[in-house]
Amino acid sequence: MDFQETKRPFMEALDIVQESLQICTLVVSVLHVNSERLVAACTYELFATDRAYELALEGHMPFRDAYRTVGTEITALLDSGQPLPVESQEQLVLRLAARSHLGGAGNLGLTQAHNRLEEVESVWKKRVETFTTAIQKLVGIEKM
Amino acid sequence: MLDDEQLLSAAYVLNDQSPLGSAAGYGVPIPIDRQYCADLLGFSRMQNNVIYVQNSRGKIEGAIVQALAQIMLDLSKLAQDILLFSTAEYGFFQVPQELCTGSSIMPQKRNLGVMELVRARTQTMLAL
Repeated sequence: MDFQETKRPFMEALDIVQESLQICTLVVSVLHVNSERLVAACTYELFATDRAYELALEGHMPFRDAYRTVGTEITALLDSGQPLPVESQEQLVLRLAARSHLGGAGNLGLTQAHNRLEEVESVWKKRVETFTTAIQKLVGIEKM
Repeated sequence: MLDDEQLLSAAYVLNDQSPLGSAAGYGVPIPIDRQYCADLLGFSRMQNNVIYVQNSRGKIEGAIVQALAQIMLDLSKLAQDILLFSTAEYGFFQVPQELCTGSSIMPQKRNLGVMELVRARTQTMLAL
C-alpha cells in the first residue's frame, strides 16, 4: 500500500465537512417553519391506520382485519369521488400527540438528545484543552 | 449526528497515539524515550509496535474519513429534505431570500443553492 497521495483528499474531506456543517447550521438557524401548511398536509387518509388501531384496541378486532376494513372504506370513498372527512386542527394535533411513546411525534425525547449533546461537548472540550495545553507548553507560551 | 459523533470519537481515540520513534518502521538504535515524547505532545498513549506504526497509516486516516462520510451522508439527507419541503409545492419551510440563488431559467424561482451544494459535496467527498 502506498499513502503518498492520500493527504490531499484527506485534507479536502476535512474542509468539505467543516464548511458543510457551518452552512447547514446557518440554514437551519434561519429556517421558518410554516405550521399552517404542515397542519394542512395532515389529511384524513394520512391517519387511516389510526382508525385500524382504534378498531383493534376498542373494537377488539384483529389488526389485520381492521386494516383491511379501513382500507376498503377509504378506498370506496376515494373511488366514488366523495370528499374525505375533514378533521379539525385539534383532532389532528391529538393524533400526533397520541404517539406518546419515546421517539414518537408526541414525545420527541429531545431532553435525552440534549443531555447526550452536553456530555459529548464536554468530552471534546477536554480533548481540545489537553491538546492546546500540550502545544503551549512545548512552544513556551503561557495559557491565555 | 450524535451517532456520527461516536464514530468520530472512535477515530479520535485511534488517532490519539504517538507514532514517534518508529523511524521508517524498524525503530532506531539509540535509547530514546518514546513515552516521554508522547506525553510532551499531549497524546494519551503511544503506538507500541514500530512496524504497526507504518502499517496503520492508511487505517487511521480511513477511520477518520469514514466518520466524516457518515456526517456528510446525514447532511445530504438534511439538505434534500429542506430542499423538498421548501419547494413552492410543499411550502413547509421558508428560507430568507438572502440565502437563495436565482434560477437560470425560471425568473421567479428561488433556489436554495447552498443546500444543493451540500448534497453535491457529499458525493464529491465520497469520491475523494
